[in-house]
Amino acid sequence: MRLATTLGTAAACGLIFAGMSSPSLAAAGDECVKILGYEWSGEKQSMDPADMYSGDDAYHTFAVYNRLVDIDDNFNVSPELATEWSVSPDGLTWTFKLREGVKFHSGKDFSSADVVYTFKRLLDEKTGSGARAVLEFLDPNGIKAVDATTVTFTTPKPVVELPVLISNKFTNIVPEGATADKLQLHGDGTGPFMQEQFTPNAPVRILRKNPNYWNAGQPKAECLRITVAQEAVAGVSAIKAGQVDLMLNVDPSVIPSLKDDPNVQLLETAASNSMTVSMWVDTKPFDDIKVRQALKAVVDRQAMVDTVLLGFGEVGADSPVPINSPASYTKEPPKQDIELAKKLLAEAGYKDGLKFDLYTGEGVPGMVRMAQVFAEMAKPAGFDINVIVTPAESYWDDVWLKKPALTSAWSMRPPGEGLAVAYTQNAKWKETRWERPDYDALLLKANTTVDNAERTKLFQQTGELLAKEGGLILPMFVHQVLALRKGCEGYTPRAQNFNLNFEDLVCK
Amino acid sequence: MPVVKLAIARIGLSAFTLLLVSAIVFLILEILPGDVATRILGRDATPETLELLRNELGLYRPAITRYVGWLANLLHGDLGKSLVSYRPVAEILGPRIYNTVLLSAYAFLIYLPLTIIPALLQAIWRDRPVDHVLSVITLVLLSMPDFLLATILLFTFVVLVPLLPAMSLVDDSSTALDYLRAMTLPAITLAVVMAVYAVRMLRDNLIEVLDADYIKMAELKGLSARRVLLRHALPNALVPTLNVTALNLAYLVGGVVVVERVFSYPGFGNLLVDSLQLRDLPVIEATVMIAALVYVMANLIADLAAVVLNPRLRTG
Repeated sequence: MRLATTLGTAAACGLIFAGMSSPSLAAAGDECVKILGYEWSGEKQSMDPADMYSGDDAYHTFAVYNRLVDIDDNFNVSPELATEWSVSPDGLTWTFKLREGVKFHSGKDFSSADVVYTFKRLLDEKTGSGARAVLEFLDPNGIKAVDATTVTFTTPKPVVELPVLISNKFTNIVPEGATADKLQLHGDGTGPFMQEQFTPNAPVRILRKNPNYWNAGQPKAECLRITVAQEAVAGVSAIKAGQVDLMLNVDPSVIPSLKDDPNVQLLETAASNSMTVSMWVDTKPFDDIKVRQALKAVVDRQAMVDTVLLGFGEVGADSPVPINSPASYTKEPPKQDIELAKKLLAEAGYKDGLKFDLYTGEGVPGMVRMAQVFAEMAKPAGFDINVIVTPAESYWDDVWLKKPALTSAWSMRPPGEGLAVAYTQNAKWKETRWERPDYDALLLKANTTVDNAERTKLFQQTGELLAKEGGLILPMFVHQVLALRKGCEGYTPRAQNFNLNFEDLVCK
Repeated sequence: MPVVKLAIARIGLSAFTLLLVSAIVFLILEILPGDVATRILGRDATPETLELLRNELGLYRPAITRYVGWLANLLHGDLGKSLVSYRPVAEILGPRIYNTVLLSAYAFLIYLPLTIIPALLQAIWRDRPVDHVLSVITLVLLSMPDFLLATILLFTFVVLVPLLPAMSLVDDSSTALDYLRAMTLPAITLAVVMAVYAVRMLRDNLIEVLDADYIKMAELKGLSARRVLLRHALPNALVPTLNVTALNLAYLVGGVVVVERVFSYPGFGNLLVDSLQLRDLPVIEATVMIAALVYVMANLIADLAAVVLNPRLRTG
């Protein structure tokens, strides 16, 4: 009896297995363009642009909503819901002209009141949005609707890059009066796609084409099916098997297995984040500028890009501004010079070499490899670097900002912000404990200079000071790698990974 | 009834174990760096927003007050609300448990024939090529971690032979067939990992039983080999295997965490990882308690079943 039962079960399983292979069985959203993300907000997933807990929320918010303006990888500004903008001669008031005839998905007309509401809401303490910290230069009372299609931002101090700074991940425009309770579950934007299926922490999101999108002809795709794979191996299998059309991030560990697949095209962003080795300039032995300069001289930057990032990156010059930016102080990356490093080390009083601990963790993919490669490169110059690998989960909580020498990573910011975020005296994250009033003064001057050429020059000087004397070794910038299925086209990857543009994406 | 007395004693002990588990989980989360407020706000956190959120979430109350409060609510059947989404924990857990129970049941269905058939074959043709080949296979699988097995299956049935989805994404709108397709690879992974232990055990037990005098007796009486094997040997060999099966049930609770993660299956194990990353205490406590409950119950049932099936253990 028992054998008969088990055999019966086995047979049933076999039948089920056979039935499953039939291709006619399609899951919901199979006709859509299938997008695979890699970050996951879990229970915190929200349709409310004010939340943006992780990159995960951008997958839908940046398809459902629009911002006033868009910014490209070089921080050039282009129109979105605003068509033109200008600043008053004193630099205090910015005026934005809004696009006419735009409707929210609910049918409501878009107007200046929505813009004012959106920004005031983000600045309101009660909203609890992370936007409040990054928009602190705005005065809520200075945001005014002049008429239905004109908005002005008046700030207490001149903010020369205001259009760039108000285009962050939180500033998608929501309709006037929309509350968090409603927005978290039901998106109502002006964007190319409309919410069709969305529940926080559910595995599948489906967004449907907005037939009334203001940019005629867009979006090209009928619908988007968005899912997330938290394990790189599942993502790779999915795109290889054609179950995914666009993979928003290819982990460096799996690039080799996709590189030679004829059905998959790898796309590459411009510099999307920097990777650094950061030292406390107030702590021995790094308080000696010669030690810092020696450590900067040991790095073969191109070799590091090739080994750690498998070539998907670009070299850096110890400044958060990429070399190809006009604001970079140099066009040439520093060269490896072991003899110079030896000489500097001897001058600093370490004739017999110098030993120290370098903390790292896989807080960002590739960081551990970078630390190990760096230690190897420094060896011939007399450095004995002990690389200490710590758990990735707690790296930013336990190690970062708590150890005098460690690896770090920063997402791309406009020069004025990038040079400030960790390096001014009142910076929140003083990774290198670099405190220089002259540096701050120079940067402040740059950030308040209205003339473009003059400002660029000041940024160059600021960056050079940091690169030559600071405690920051920035050997490379990472290019994010994306994978697109053959037969799909129209996707331009952006360095700011939340800035997703699905408008032209289409698959045959 | 000694069995009843034993059962009551064991149940009391189990309840105490669960209480201990909940306290330890609470303690560990207190010690772990980073709290739910820093997790929610991430790198956008400022001291003011953190302060605000922590007050709102009541994180400044002493740990013991929070623990006792949580325990009191639990005894009233209230699992609390997620600190992250403010949704009731029961509402979050419900569909996840449903998914995991389905997956486990499916895995168990595969597990049974996967255990009994190879063990029978090995016992019948012991020390013959069949036995050796199966032994090697089970040993190889035994020494393979579950995530590696999952990865191999993934590449085989998704990339090489595109039969099944790489990601097991199911939700309310999924049909029964969607579920079956989604669950097959994770279920096979779990079943194989469980079966390899049980096969070896059942084979040895069967061989031992087949050498026993009463089996010789049965054979001498002229019973068919089939009847001897299935009616006399197998039931007796199964008793010690029950313990392994109970332990396998317990493994299942941990195994689903890894396997659901690899296959992105929206079950209870995936929820545990998500909520741990967010330090979402009420969800973590609820999931761990349920895992512990399954673990304890599995062992309890195994012990009681062994007593019921084996009269010699009934004394005292």
